[in-house]
Amino acid sequence: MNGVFYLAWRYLVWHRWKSLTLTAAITLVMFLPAALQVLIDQTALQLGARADQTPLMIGAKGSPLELTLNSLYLQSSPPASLPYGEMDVIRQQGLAAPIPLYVRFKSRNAAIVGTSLAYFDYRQLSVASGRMMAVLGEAVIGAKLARTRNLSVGDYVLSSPESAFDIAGVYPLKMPVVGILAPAYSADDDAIFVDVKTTWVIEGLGHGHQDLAGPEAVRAILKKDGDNIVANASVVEFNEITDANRDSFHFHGDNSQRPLTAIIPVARDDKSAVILAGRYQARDDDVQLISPSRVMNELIATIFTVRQYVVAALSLIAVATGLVVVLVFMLSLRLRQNEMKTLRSIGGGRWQLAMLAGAEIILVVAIAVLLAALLTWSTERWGTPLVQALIVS
Amino acid sequence: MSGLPVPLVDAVDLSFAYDLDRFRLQLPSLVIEESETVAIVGPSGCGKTTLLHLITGILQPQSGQLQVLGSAVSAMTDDQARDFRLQNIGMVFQSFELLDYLNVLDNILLPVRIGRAVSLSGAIRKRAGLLAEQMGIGDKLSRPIGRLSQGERQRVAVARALLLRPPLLLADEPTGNLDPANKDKVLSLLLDYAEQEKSGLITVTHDSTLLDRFSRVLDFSTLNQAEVAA
Repeated sequence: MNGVFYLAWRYLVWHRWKSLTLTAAITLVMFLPAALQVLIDQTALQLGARADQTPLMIGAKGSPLELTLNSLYLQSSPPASLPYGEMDVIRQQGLAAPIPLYVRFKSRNAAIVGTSLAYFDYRQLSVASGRMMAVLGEAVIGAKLARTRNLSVGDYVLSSPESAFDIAGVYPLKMPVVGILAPAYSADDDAIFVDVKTTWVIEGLGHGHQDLAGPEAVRAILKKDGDNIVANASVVEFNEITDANRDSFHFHGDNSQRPLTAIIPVARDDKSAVILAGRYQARDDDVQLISPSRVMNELIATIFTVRQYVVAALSLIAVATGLVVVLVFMLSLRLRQNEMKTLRSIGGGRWQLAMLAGAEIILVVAIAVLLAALLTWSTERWGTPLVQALIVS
Repeated sequence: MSGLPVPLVDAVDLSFAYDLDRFRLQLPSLVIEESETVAIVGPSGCGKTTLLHLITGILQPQSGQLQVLGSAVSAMTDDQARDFRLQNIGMVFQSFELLDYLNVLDNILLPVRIGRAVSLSGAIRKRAGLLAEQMGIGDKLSRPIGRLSQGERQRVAVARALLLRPPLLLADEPTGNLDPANKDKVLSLLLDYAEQEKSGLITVTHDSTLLDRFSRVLDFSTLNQAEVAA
């Protein structure tokens, strides 16, 4: 190592705590704005990618952001519901194939997504083990959820009550896991997928109970009027849909009035998408069609505005840190006047002494730059899973 | 070169002042011959250390001529004086002036690390080790300065001064901080080196018990004409 750089290095090593403090301060000043930039870019990319994948979304009128977050990222409280009959409206127009979504219930923290098999094709989700759901009550779960809860095919997931204090509310439904999806690195990895009718069963809109025509139900029957039988609360209701009781499950009321939180209209082509959007714009009822990517772009623009303020604040901190670092070096040089005098006496020139002081600054800044670059690279490299974890969970 | 012996120091009408003329040094004539060992004595503030700094070229006289080992130090640029110092003069300081962030070996090698005129070679490293052995600190080469005794520190300072085999040794009260036993050891080291290498030795000292070991003693209070006039 060059003479002055060697001496500078020995000095920095000897005064290691001072050197470490200075290096850490400079590193942070450089790393924080860079990391912020990287994380915000990755967040924008993550948020934007899924939104871009879903050009159109239909839901009840209300907050487009809430609708997007619920339907795309399977989080936030459920938006107002729209009737299942809207599926037929879309089909009849012949412009798009509708995919139903009912994202209201949870199993602990995992969203239960009521949908159809078309959703899996649309999101390009494949089963890694087991099979796709085939009948009422079966569940397919995301890869991350299976890993974190240690679930495999043949295990069960239980829907959570919406409120622990509402005894008349939704009863837990026990659902067998028939398939585990391959990792998709999206919100789907943390979700439980069931047929949309299963979510209606969870809600209590459909149910199964013991056969009221059988002899064991005689004491429960209050009134019999032809096929219409009225029974009391002692009738056993099933909280698990099995092969034995599946036939007993039935729905009351009009199918077209059952709730959905959103419909993804998969347009035939761009022209159909534009026509569909125009028709929904012209409608004057409680249904809206939104563009999730536009909604997310607005959200991202807000994040970028916040970033500018943060970067401005960090720049001021950087200037202050720079001044403190200069002050520390100047004070250090002042304290080392005797040392400089000695070095001069034994053959050090003014230029060498200036180089010695400069070498210390260069070494500290160079190490800080390297560390900041390494940290920024790490953020870029491993920031994506972090962002995914933050966004998805 | 004429082949005639070159004086270690040859000063003529040397004049230097600082601190708004509060301190003045005036030497009409001073010659120190080759291989002389000289002790400079005198009261504090009479200009002994200033003379050493003029000889090294760290300070430049306002007037007069000063030749050291045949070179006109008084006419040298800062860079020339630095290279001259590095190659020809070994300095020993009263307070050792060792760097606490370097170990013993690096302190001995300091003139080479900080100077540009000589590069750090294997031979120089070997000489540093040899000097340390001679000084009795050969087993402490990697030890930090803070873990040495006063006597050991002074020996490191002497080894550093002798590293590049300087033809002239300057010592500014080299025994001032030492106990009698170490005082004797350090002075013996310097005098033995001067004798072996036929080098000159100029030592500033306040210790009158050491004076009979030098070939010449200069009382600076009588040499500095400015002091005499005052």
